[in-house]
Amino acid sequence: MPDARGFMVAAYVLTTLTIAVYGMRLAARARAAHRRLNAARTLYGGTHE
Amino acid sequence: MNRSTMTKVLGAAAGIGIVSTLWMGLVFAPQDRLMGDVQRIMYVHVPAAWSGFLAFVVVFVASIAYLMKRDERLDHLAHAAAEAGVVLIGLAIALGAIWGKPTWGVWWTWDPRLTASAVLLAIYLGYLALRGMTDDPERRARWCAAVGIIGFLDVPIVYLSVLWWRTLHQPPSSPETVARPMLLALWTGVIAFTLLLAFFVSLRYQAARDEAELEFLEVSHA
Repeated sequence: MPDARGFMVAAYVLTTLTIAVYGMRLAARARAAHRRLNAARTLYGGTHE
Repeated sequence: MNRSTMTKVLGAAAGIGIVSTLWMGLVFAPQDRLMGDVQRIMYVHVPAAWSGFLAFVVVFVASIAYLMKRDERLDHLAHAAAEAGVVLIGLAIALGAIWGKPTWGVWWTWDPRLTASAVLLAIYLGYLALRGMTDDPERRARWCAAVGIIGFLDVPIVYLSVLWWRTLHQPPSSPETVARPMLLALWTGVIAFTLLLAFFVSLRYQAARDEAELEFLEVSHA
């Protein structure tokens, strides 16, 4: 069997990176959408949230 | 508790859960007698697959509910769950490949479980691509609800493929045949990834709802 520990480490690194990158991307998208919506509400005379 | 606070609480709980999963999988669980350390991949591979399936259950239920009620919030929920499900099933497939190489000798083989999983990923990638194919929100929601319902048929096929056909992939393990510390580590992973899914869906839902309202404001004032 090849160095099995290397495969295990690769799996855990991939898991951590996937969760971190997707989580941060989602958080940034949610923040940007909220900011743009508030700007549009101001522009078109709505209310802020 | 408002939705933003709930998302933050979910994020904190998921973060604690994921750190616990890493510790349980890498330190707490004993080494497998036959596979050695590579078996520890199970503590992230199985929860990732489970949470991906759960995401597609949410897409299925929200899609049926959308067709019955025509409430756009249900379409946002289905969209959010589909995107999170694609990430989690994609991760489960990649982890399976990393586990497959040292145990089966190949990264990938056209085995029934692996093929059905690849088809599942393709279906929901198609679902996400379909969302960009029309500007009419009502039509987009209707088309995607149909795909969300029909596409779900592959989920039980993926799960049962190891029982229906001869496959390299092992069948589901029974709790009676798994050592208690291994079972504890696995359950920690399942709970953590379920919380993670809820956090991802909640964040994506908020973005989808705000983007839809923004689109409405811009169209109505154009």
